[in-house]
Amino acid sequence: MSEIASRFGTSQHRRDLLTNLLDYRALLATDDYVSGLQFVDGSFVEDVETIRGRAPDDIDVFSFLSAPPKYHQDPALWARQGLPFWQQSVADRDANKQRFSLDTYAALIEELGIGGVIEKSIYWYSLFAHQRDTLAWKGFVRVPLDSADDQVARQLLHQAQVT
Amino acid sequence: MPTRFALQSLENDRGYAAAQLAATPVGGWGTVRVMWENRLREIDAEMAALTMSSSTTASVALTFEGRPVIGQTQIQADFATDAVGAFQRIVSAKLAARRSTSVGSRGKVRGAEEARLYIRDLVRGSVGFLLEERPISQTSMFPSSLKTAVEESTAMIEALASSNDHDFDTSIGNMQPRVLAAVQSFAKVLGRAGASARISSDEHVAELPAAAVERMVERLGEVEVTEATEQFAGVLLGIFPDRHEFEFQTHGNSHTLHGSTTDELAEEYATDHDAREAMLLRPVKAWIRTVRSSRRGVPIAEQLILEAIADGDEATANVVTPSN
Repeated sequence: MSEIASRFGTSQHRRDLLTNLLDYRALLATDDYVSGLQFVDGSFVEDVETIRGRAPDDIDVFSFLSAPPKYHQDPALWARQGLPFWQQSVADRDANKQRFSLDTYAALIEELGIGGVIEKSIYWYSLFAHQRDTLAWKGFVRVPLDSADDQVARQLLHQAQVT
Repeated sequence: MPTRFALQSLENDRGYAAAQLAATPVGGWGTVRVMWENRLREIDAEMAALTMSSSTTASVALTFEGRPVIGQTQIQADFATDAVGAFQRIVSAKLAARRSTSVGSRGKVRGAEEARLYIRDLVRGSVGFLLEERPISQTSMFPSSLKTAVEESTAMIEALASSNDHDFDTSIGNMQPRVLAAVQSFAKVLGRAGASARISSDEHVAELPAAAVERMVERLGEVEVTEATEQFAGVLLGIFPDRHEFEFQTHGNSHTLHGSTTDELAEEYATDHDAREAMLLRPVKAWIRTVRSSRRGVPIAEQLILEAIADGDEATANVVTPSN
């Protein structure tokens, strides 16, 4: 996240969006999601200010997450607590757009298995790797969950705001 | 991107996502079901937004298959140039025909600059081109003339490619000679190259598989358009400048001719009182161009275009003629 903050935090608006992404990652951590990776995509990772003359509206995020150990140990806890948290916090697109300006999708690695991860990656890659309107090729960014690096990113964003 | 083209992409995506959701078991962790449910909701929202929206500027995708195309990545340069150019000429002629009922079969098309389309992008997933109107600084609530011309051109090609002979004959019967010539040229480009095509505008799709191209080439090859200007003596009963229409009663058999007028004649009639007095309800000579289209020798349509009026007594004086 520190690398993303340095590379893409080129305006206050962008830095605000990145702070929101860090807050979302912190929210995941409250339910012990500490392992996984995210694809960060959309106009945020393009020079949309130059291409389309506007700032990015939000950040598109797809999360492949490992289930916290507590849910492996207690499947009933998943049904009681884990799935509701997932539905209302991790994968609630409307709520995450409202509070974080993030367009969020997610899936558990354990549920997918290796074959499912590859298959879903192909689908999301086909969407993330092309501009919506023109279908021209574009890139996107992979970032692992890493709370220590998230703290570095926050400091970088704060420093940029101060200076 | 043309709305219909974008909708087709979303429909394909929706089909995949729906199939994935159906194949995902209920129960277990449940996160993959949530993912596909969210994706379907997003696609549905995008499709609803696209369906509600309507662009006011011209946008059309031309995609090609067949002999000039290799896989999904390459197309013969000379064919691509010819095909896109031929389609542009159809749109230019259509736009000119919308503005004047008297577009001749030869000469420079008036307003060709305003009909200009730009290649904005390549079509991904197939081989083709996305053509669009140059963006205008102010957004209009109403479709531009070029957008209407593009939509009408696409619909016209769709009718011409129809297996229904009646649809073809009806389209030909209503067609200006310049438009017909442009369509004949487009069909020949596709036919010579062994190509098929798909034309997707916002509101219409013209599918031209190989059989339809062959049919178009054959049918259009059977169509002949002749033009001849004749002089008639009679009385001008009236010109309707707003509709560019005239009525002329010929001497002798008292036959009344109906048709369209040139832009210039309609304008002079509307604005020049003396000229109007000189030609209306008096013995005059009229130069009327007759455009006849036929297929296999069978007449399909006839258009009369009033080009000039002169005094009945003297052809050189007081001639009200188009100021070309």
